[in-house]
Amino acid sequence: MIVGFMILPLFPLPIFLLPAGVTQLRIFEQRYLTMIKNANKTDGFIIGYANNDDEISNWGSWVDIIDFDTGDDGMLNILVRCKKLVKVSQHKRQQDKLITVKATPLLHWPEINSNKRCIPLRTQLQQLFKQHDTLNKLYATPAFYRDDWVVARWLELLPVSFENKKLFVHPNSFISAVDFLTTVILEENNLIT
Amino acid sequence: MGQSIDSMLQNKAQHAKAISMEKEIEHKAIADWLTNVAQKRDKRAFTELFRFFAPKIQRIATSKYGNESLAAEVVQETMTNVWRKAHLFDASKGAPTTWVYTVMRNVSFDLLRKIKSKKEDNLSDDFWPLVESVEEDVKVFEDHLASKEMMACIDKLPDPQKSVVKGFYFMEMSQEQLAEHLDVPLGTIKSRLRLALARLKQHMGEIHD
Amino acid sequence: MIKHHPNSELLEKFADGELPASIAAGIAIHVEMCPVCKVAVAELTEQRSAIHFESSDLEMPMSELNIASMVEEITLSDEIDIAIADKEKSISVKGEEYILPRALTNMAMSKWSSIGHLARARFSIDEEPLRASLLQIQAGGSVPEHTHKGFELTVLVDGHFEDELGIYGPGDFILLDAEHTHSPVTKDGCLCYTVANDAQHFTQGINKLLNPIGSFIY
Repeated sequence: MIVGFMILPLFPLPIFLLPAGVTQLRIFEQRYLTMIKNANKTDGFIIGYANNDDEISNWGSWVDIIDFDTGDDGMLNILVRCKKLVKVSQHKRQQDKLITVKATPLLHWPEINSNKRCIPLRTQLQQLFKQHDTLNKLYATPAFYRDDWVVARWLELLPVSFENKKLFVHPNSFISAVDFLTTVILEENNLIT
Repeated sequence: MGQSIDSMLQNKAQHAKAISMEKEIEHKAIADWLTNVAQKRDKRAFTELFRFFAPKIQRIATSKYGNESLAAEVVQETMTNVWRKAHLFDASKGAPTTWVYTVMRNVSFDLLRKIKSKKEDNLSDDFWPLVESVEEDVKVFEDHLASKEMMACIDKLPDPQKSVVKGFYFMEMSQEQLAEHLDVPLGTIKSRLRLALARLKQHMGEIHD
Repeated sequence: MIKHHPNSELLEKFADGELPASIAAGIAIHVEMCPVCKVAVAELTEQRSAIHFESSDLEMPMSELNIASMVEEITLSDEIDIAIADKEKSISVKGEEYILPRALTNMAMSKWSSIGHLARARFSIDEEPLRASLLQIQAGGSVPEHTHKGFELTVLVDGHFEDELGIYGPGDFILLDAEHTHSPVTKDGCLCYTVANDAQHFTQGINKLLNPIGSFIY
């Protein structure tokens, strides 16, 4: 079936997740537990930014649940993977205060291989995965061979404000992202201090 | 004048061959435009597609419905669909011209039904599926058992926890962690981040202005 | 094994999208189940596209300005359409479970009503005088001998029935016009998609009293 949009529940969280990105969520609140229960029926849900004034960002990450467990503290942990970025509009609040939105799929970067400038970024990311077991646990099959995958994972990990990361949602932002990462991760000599 | 039947036939065969060669080249070009639209949102490639198809669609729809403004709507809708669906075209399944034709056929069907029966049920995709079956890239949770286990898991949660405010994990690193990983002083990381952001904003400004 | 197919004229019109939705749905159900007609439709579509798209003589010229402004408007959006897994829709009629053919999944359907061995639900397809329905004949049931004032299209979705002309199974596509008389009987019960443009007319003796059933089925 081909669709132009979906009506999906929104999990409000200022988290930057690009396609293929995985993160762990801890779910407490009843309305979100219900949402998780229904996630299979609804084709996943949207993680999007929402502040207290009910202001909702106009884009979000459409995710699928790929794994779950109960933590030592008895909380529900779920692993979600981003399928696509979506445009978010027409939000509605249900009785249980769960927000549903109209989610329109957006195009992101194409698959990119063998961009020379990405080689050092890949090496650094591989090292990071080696040092942090939590990352390895998130990604069963890391796609280091794909430059777009490597760059996207770096952007998610970097300590930069959500507002600034938003600039990389645009489908033509790949090169800007490589420039950005190269400056942060590799550039040592051209610093203007 | 003195041309033998044999050589005439040969000429004809060569002509036919030349045409099919031409078609093949044409198909290749159209398929490439579609790929560029799908992957890079390439406006120039889309303009080429538009130049190739729009005047033909305009003609087909005009002769079919005898109404130029309706035909213009078919052109607009079909080309919008090509822009939105280009990534669904699969060159191994057939010619790109056939794919655009099916898009046009489906668009016209839904449009006409909207006008004639006042129905916006968009049935065309059910009658003429543009994609045969969808490969789910996430199979893990498709598993019925897994979802059942998860329900059980949720139901077993102690009540007080069901009502606490939600919590979450960020996977983001701290500046300290990044400095440690890259083996540079924290100050360097901070100034690099500032610089990178300044450059980014300057660059984005150029794009958007 | 499917024995009864739409004729080539119908398939051609189907490939061109020129049939009313109710009839197109009937052919789509058949094509979904019949690999032979599926290939035929694919070939017809290819032929049609070749005729229309592969000759530059068949164009209506557009102004550069017009092209530029339409391209500009369309490419403004980053939105895309995506393919998601189809959701099977199943229905339950008189204790029988059926999975609906893909073609029918999004067609709005009325509640079921029944008389004797027959149960029927209408599609609100809004193509008067054409009416499309799902008709269930329960095991051992039959439709009394009748003719059609107009035409009657039946596509078997599930089960079998037989009439004077033969035995029909899932996927069979049967188009009858006013000249035909038949009285279908089913041993194992069946579910059919039907389209008619006028009430069935019962022809024999006491069955004439059943003519209200004719309008029930229609």
